[in-house]
Amino acid sequence: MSIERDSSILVVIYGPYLSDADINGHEIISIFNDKGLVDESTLEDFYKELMPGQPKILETGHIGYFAQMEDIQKFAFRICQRFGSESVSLVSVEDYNEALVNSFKSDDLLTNLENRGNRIENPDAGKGGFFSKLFN
Amino acid sequence: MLANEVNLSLTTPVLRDEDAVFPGENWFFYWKTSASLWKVKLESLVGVNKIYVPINWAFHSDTGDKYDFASERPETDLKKLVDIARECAKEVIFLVPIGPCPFLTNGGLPALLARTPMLDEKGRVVAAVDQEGNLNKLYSFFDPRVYKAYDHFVKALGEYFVTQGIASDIWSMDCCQVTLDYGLVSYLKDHSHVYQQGFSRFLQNKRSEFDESEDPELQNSLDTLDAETEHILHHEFYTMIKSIYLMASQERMSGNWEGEVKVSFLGGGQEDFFKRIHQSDSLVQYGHDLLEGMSLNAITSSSLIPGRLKKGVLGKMLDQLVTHSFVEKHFSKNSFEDESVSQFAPKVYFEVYDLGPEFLPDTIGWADLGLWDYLQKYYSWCYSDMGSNEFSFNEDSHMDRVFFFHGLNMDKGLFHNMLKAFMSGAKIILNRAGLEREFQKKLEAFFIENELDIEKVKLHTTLVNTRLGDGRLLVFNGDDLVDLDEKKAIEFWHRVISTFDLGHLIVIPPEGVQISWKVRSSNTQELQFEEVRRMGIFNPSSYKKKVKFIIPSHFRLLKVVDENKVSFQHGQKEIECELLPEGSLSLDFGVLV
Repeated sequence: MSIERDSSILVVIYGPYLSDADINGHEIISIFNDKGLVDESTLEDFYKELMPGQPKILETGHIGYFAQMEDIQKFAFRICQRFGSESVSLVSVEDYNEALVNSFKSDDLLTNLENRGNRIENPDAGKGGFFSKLFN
Repeated sequence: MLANEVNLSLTTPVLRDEDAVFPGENWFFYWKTSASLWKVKLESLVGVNKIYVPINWAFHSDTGDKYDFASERPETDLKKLVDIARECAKEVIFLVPIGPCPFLTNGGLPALLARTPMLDEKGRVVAAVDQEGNLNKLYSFFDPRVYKAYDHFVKALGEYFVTQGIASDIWSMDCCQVTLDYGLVSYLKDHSHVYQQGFSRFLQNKRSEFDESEDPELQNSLDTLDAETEHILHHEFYTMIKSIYLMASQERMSGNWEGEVKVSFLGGGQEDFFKRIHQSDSLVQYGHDLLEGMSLNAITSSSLIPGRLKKGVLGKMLDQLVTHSFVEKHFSKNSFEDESVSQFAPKVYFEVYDLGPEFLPDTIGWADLGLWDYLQKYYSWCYSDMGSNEFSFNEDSHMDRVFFFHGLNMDKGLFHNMLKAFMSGAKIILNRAGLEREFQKKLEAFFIENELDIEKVKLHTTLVNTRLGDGRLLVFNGDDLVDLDEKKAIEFWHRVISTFDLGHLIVIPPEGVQISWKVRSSNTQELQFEEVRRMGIFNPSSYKKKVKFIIPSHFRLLKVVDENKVSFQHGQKEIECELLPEGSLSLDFGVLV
């Protein structure tokens, strides 16, 4: 099946939390849309809103710590809503790497990421909310 | 879409043949066209007397153990290429990679050797998007099979050059990316399992060396690796492997080998990657990275950037700042030292020696003291980030420069060189935080023995200042500045640097606009001036921008050049220009003695 690529999809690459070997959990390694990686301050604002405490790691496109996968899903979906993206595709770093190694063109990679990811649709996409007007 | 981004995703990018063969900065990709067309192509490069030819290892060897140098495909005939270039009055300079190349499939490795994809520190496969939208995945050079094959290849290449009598210069090329947090990072850096295996073997070897030692503390140090020791050992291992590749290229091609050059690839960073897979390029970012690459002493290559993005202001920046200035400086080291040659060279006021990569990332460096923010704002890239390179002082050309050093990485050699340079007239700023007690005592003794007058001023820290002839030495404790907010840190540096009377024309550009400075000696018609400085103003953004500044009394506007999409007004004391999107201009100033 071929999925027509939608440029307004948010992609989240996640992996195990590596900063502290004694703590089990996850981190978002890269979160991006067609404008590139999501900036640090947007990530920080939503993390503070949804998670207890401050992010333990924070830089452009990269944030953690998340105890559960559900936390990442919740966080990613809020960012997706903020940008008015059609959907968010959650991809593990292993799946991302496999998709990349098997892609030869940029478009192939984006299609592969959308196919491989755990995709959550945003029912409010395209309704022209305040944030989508402001940030897109 | 952000206005400074160029998104042409609705159009199908068409790569012109010239873009593929000449990807920018007079680079020539010989494998991208038929050898029968080389002459026509090279003749089309009017006014160019040097071409830079990267060697494509995989193009000469499918398997990694057999080589084709004109034996099968005519496009592998490098001798013919050099001869044709000579007929076209051009010199060929070869660039031999010592690690992965982002512009080549598999990073340039022969297909059979491309086994382990490289990983970055976050565990992602490292890749770059080339001009044609291809994803070039990079493969690890830490695989011992790769090293063996590389050694055989450079040996065969060296022998080919000798037997064919090719006299062209060869430079070892370290391909790098400009990163937000770590500056220039080589594509050789890897975190794959092959790297980890190599590092484990390296640790084992270290252990066996230490086991022979009678010092129990030394023997235990590798069993209980703390973060700092592990970081140092990783750096040591990486440096060792890099030097193996560098030495192989140097020794195997010794007759032609000239040195090592770092090349920074615009659009090659991991942050750029996630934009570029959407064909969303940021000219503002590229303009910034180009100048940052220069300040880090790397040659910029735009070979990953599609030609259509280089038609406007980015092309002008590349042409004026890289091709016709910085590249010349790197490959013809004497061209700017001959005063009879009136050629513009990058203007450098500051040489900043920073902590090397062997220090943990959270060690206090110049960035933490706000120095880079200040220099970027007030001195628009007129500085050289020397990293942990070796310091050398040239009395002929470095007298107007200010040198920055950290006490933390001061060793005996650097300490003596620094004081020697001061006595020869150098201007030096030393952050004494971390300076070993031995050197602190020696410094105090040096002041006393030479009967130097010491001035002490309190400004967030105690500034200790002394002079000797033209020389100046200013010592402070960086630990006192760490907690200053950005504004106060910039104010601190502004007050300190203004005491050096550098005579710079300070212009603080609006966001997105880049200012560059070049300098040349005055010619016979300009003898009233000490030198001529060229200020370039570039607006890679999609917004109209205004730049306004006061002309200092010792500056005279000589001429306005390369006006493009700009309106310009000037009075006796003030200049104002309005740059449309992608607008640019250059202004030549005579600087009075």
